[in-house]
Amino acid sequence: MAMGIDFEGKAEKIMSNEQNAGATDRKLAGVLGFFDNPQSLIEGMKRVREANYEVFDAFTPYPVHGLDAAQGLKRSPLPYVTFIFGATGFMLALALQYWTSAVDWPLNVGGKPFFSWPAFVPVIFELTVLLAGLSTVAGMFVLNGLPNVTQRAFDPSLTNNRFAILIGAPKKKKEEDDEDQEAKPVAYAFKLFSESEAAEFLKKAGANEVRTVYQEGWF
Amino acid sequence: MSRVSSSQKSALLVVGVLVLLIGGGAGAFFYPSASNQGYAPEQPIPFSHKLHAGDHKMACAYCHVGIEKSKHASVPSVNVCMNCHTVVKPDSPWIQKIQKHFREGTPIEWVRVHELPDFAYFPHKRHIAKGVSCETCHGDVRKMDVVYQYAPLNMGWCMDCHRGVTTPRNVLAEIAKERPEVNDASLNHKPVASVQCSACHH
Amino acid sequence: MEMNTSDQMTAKKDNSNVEFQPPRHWVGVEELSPGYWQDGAVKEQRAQEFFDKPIETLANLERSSGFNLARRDFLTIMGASMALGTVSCVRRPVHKIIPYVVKPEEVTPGVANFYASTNPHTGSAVLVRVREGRPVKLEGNELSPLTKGKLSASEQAELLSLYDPERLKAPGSRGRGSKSLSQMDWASFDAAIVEKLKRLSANGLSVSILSTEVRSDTTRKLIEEFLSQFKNSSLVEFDPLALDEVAMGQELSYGSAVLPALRLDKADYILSLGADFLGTWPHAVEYSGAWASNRKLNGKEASLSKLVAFESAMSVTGANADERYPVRPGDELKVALAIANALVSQGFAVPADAQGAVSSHTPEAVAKDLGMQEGAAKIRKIASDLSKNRGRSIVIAGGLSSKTTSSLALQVAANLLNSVLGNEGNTIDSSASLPSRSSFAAVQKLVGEMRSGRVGALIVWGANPGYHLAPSTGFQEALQKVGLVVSVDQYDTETAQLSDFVAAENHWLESWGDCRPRKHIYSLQQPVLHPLFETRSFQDMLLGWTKGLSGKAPAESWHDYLKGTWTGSLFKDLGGAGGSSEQFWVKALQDGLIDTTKGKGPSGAARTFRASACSKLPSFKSSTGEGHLLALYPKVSMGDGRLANNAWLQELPDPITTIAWDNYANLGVAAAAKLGLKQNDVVEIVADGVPFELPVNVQPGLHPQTLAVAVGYGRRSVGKVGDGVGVDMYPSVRVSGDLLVFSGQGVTVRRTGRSYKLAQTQWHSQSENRPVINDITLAEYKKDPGTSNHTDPHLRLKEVPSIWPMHDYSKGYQWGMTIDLNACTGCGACTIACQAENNIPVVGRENVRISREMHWIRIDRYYSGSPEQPNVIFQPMLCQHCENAPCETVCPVLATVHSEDGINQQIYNRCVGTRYCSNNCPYKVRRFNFFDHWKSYEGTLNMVWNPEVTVRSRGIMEKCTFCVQRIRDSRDKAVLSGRHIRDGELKTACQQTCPTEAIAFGNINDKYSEVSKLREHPRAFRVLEVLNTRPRISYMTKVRNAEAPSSHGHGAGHGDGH
Repeated sequence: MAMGIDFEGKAEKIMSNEQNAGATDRKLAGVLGFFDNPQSLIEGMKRVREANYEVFDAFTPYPVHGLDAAQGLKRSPLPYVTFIFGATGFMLALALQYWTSAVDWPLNVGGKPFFSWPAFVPVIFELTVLLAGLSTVAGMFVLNGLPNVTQRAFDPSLTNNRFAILIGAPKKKKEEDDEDQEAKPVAYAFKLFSESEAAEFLKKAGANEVRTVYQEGWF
Repeated sequence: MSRVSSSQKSALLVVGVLVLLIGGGAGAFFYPSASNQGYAPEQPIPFSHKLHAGDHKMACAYCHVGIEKSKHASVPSVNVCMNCHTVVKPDSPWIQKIQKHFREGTPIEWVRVHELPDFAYFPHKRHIAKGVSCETCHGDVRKMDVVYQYAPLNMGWCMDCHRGVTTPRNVLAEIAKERPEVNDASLNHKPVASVQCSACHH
Repeated sequence: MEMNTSDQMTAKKDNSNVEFQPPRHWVGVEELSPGYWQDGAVKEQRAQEFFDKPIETLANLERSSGFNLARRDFLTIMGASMALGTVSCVRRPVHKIIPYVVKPEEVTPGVANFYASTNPHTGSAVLVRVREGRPVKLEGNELSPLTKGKLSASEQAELLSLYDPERLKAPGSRGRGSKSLSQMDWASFDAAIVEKLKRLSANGLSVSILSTEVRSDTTRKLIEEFLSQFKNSSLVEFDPLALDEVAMGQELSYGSAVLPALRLDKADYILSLGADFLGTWPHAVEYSGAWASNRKLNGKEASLSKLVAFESAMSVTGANADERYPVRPGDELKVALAIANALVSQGFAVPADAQGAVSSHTPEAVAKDLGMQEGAAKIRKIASDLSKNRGRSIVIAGGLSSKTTSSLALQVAANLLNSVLGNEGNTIDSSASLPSRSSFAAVQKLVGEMRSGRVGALIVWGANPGYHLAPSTGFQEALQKVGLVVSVDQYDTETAQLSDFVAAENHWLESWGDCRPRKHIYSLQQPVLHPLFETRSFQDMLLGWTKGLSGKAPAESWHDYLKGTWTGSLFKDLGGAGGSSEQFWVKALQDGLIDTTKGKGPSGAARTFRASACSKLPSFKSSTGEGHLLALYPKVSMGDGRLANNAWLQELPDPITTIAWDNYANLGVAAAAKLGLKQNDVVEIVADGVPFELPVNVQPGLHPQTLAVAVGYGRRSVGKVGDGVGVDMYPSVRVSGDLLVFSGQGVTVRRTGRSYKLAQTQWHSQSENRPVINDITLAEYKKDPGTSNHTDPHLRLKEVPSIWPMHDYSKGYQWGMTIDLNACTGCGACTIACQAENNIPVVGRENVRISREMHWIRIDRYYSGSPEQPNVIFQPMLCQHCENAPCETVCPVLATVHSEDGINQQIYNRCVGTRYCSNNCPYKVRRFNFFDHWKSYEGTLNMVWNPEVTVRSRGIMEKCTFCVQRIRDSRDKAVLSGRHIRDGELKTACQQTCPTEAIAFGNINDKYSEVSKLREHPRAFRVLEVLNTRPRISYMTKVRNAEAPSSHGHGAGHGDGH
């Protein structure tokens, strides 16, 4: 149970709001199934993945080992970002120091030659690490879709003591695509999404509570 | 529950950025800069270079006698003015003021327009010797009724000329007589004049 | 134990299992004990450098003497208020340009003019560098055949005294004995003086003038004219440091009371008996140059003159001697007579009158009496060396430390030796000397007349008998009987405190005058600026008073009188070459002096020695008693104390003791240990009933019975800088016959239990046994001039692999310097010259004590040998301008970079005060401005700043720049003339003033320049070369003309076999 938060009440509110769905342009996020422990979460996730839903995700208060594999998440491209920016930092530092010390204003400092790369090492190191670090942070933000001002967290207990799997409503495609889809039978199609069906599935997968959730704005 | 539409949010963002840009720009524009460019103080006697050097075509070196021999160009002493103004325009109250200074032996306290900080030493004689004209750094003084500081006189501006970026043609030609490599316009060319720190800072 | 280089560099490990080997060159006796090298002891020594309680130290600094840090705004140290003050600043404040009303033709603002003048106190010819009517630097006048363009430390420092804001600004009068001086204007002052003089002379009383020695013929003439108006009037000349015993000895021995010129350039063997002719004697600059000319080993044959010294207090001369023997004050006479005895046994003949004295002084008896370890054989050897060099040797005696009751006998003995050896007329040349006028006998006569009430008026000019004359002379008592006492001086001195009228006098740079240092040199003195205050020159006062007394004066002004004499009688005598008298005058003014021998120098015949003088020589009497004997001596910086308010001189560390700002009791190592005294312990010494409290300085090289103290300190009334600094030793001076007795009195020493921290700089830059200096003997040098290569391998740079190519320094000007350690006498003139040229501030005693002295060039002094009889070697240390400068590499803002011509530049405006550069400097030559020292320069003192050099504020690092402003100036001149800088045209300040020309500076790319030749010399080495700093300064190994080879002990724990 979340401490001090009357989430039951909130759930009620959400449900009640759902009834006034027409008043706002709230989008359907999907169906959220709650689990109590990571093992059941992973079990459930395996099943969801096998069921070949198009959009699904897990919410956990802490990183859970094995969840990535269960979810079938690909390795993050963030290391590439780090590497590219680190290399950029390296080249930038080298270029900066080369240009300032050997081209633009050569100064004889301590008898070192103008391009004295051992003396440039601290700056090179710093700029490499700086750009790598900053880009990693920025990259992480970007790859995570942060800052996210369009979606409120579905439930506070997800940062506390419960785990959840969301089976999400697929994004709307353009009409042309819809037509194409109808015309061409896709060999490997995702499982079609319907709220009720997803909810059923989650219950079968081991969720102790299933809820339909909507994308709530941040403010 | 937000009732602000996304288009309203973007509008807010755009306006905010614009305010910052314009405000910052205005601030930067109006806040006094580090250089004293444009400084045109009022002098105790409104000596007009436009009249003397412009209309009457007096040479700079007639009054500013130090330029070839010294680091200072030097503002002329009262007796230089009196070379003419014992007889020229004696009815003007300003001329009478000069004459009074001369008679009483009190110097005229001019307000200094071009000043470098104490740790920077600028030798006029070296520059005159290489053909740098007075106008290069002081602007067209012949057109100035009130002397103002034409150039920023900061170190970057000095170095631009020393490194060959803004060096006047005739000066380059003069220097090229001894060092032809200064005409090389490549990126890594040798400086036109000294870029050693202690040349000016000692 | 074998230790490789890197081990030795960091060897502060506990080496207790290794047999301790003391370092070859040591700075203090502490370094000779193993305990010192363990961490605890070193930290203790260094405890003076760091402090834990800033508030306490700052409070000490506020209270300390020296340039007035109390005036400094305390908040500026904190800094915050300064930052806040600039927030409101938008544009820099309005500055004015104020040109002349009528610009003199010869003045171009920004261009210096040079005027020749003379320093009347020393007779040296000076060249004054004047910027816009303001002198900013003094140099020697190269046209002088005596000083050859050099000045000593105190002569360089006279510039600061000119601008001293504590000078008397106007004449005044006081009730006799009252402290307050009421200012007057000159008209009423003159009227009052004249009125009093009239009354006194009407009563038949005499008027006397008591002054320092008047070297100006014209002034003497004027004084005589003035005094002729009164009955029984006299001019009495007295300098406390004057060598009047030498003059009296000359009178007795040869019949002429002169100070003969010492032709040291002709001397191959010099025996000094307590004579400090290289340091504090008159003409020391001339003698240093002449002596050094035979020490440079630049002839075809490797030959050096030899200097042997017997002295009590350690002086600069003794420190530079090849052999030095510490004796008691007064023993010098015994040495002279023992040498005479040895000469007699080698076949020389002495007059009959001397035979009694000479024969009683056997070398055996004397050597035993003196406690000479080397014994009588050494005395005989000296005698035989002297005889081998007869006619080319010289025996010199005289000076305060040997001015005992037998000082006259010492002079006669020295003269006897010189005559017997045939030196008289060769190396002793009296032909060009003018009679020496300073005479204590005349003072005594004057005191007698004053006491009897016959002296109506006493005009004291420049002399300071209220300070210099001890109560035992009776002067102050007798002064009470004098009706009118007028003191003419630049300061409100001790004598002025006793006077009725104080006439504020010009500084000599503001006055006309002439001077005759020798018979053949006529030197002119001219003012180089308008008097700063309401002062006049003494001669103008005399003329004014003459006019008041008799209605007319010989001339309207002193200038007219002087010019009249020069264009009149002098022109007649000297102006032979034709031309008008006006041309003669102008040329003399321009050159500064006239040499009637036209550079050839004087030539004189030998005088005959008068046997009657030998009656002064006593028979041998062995010394009794084990007590301490006082030896007073003048310091190179302070002299007789006239310049006590000159902060540059107060802060100059003494060459021997490296202590600034005080005087102290010098005790030998053994003597101090016996009394249980350590450095800085305060003792009370009682000399003939007069007590003095002084801190102790343990001084190697003193006889166990010698207690040496410097005079010239303890001033009571000269100004904020000098008052109360040190202890006045003049009250210990006695009178014996016609002479003052400075040394030889018995003193008792008593511990007080207190201590006083002396500002000793020798520990501030410890080389920690790294090889920084080297000296060898002449024998070793002759065998192999590059000996130092082999004896100290760590001085030489081995092949060092480099990871990158070096910069190409083969083109253009590359500045370098060589310092000849054979020639450096440690006099400190370079230090003061550098201070004057480069606006180096004075920081005060407390700051010096905590290693914050600001001198860019310092003289490090190293001893070698035994503490009882050490050899001394001086090494000027300044920024080495390393090609691989460790300081440049670590500056985070690149405030110090290397110029194309090899100078390690320091850009003041860029420096942020990290002090990493100073940390990294292996030579410790960088100086940091911890405070805004410029703020303590008040009023007119700010005129001493050299406009060509930036005045640094707080937080900025500074160091020697090879006088880059002079390099720029020479470059400008050369470029505008379309030529190169010639070798010798450009001189750094230190090089220009060094009396011995020890410093050579120039373009090392010019293979004909002096410096590039010297760099290639086998004697040349570079300090700490092993660090691969590649310094541009080379030092020439000191070669000593000593007999025994110097010991080759290397650093601690370092063995042979490389």
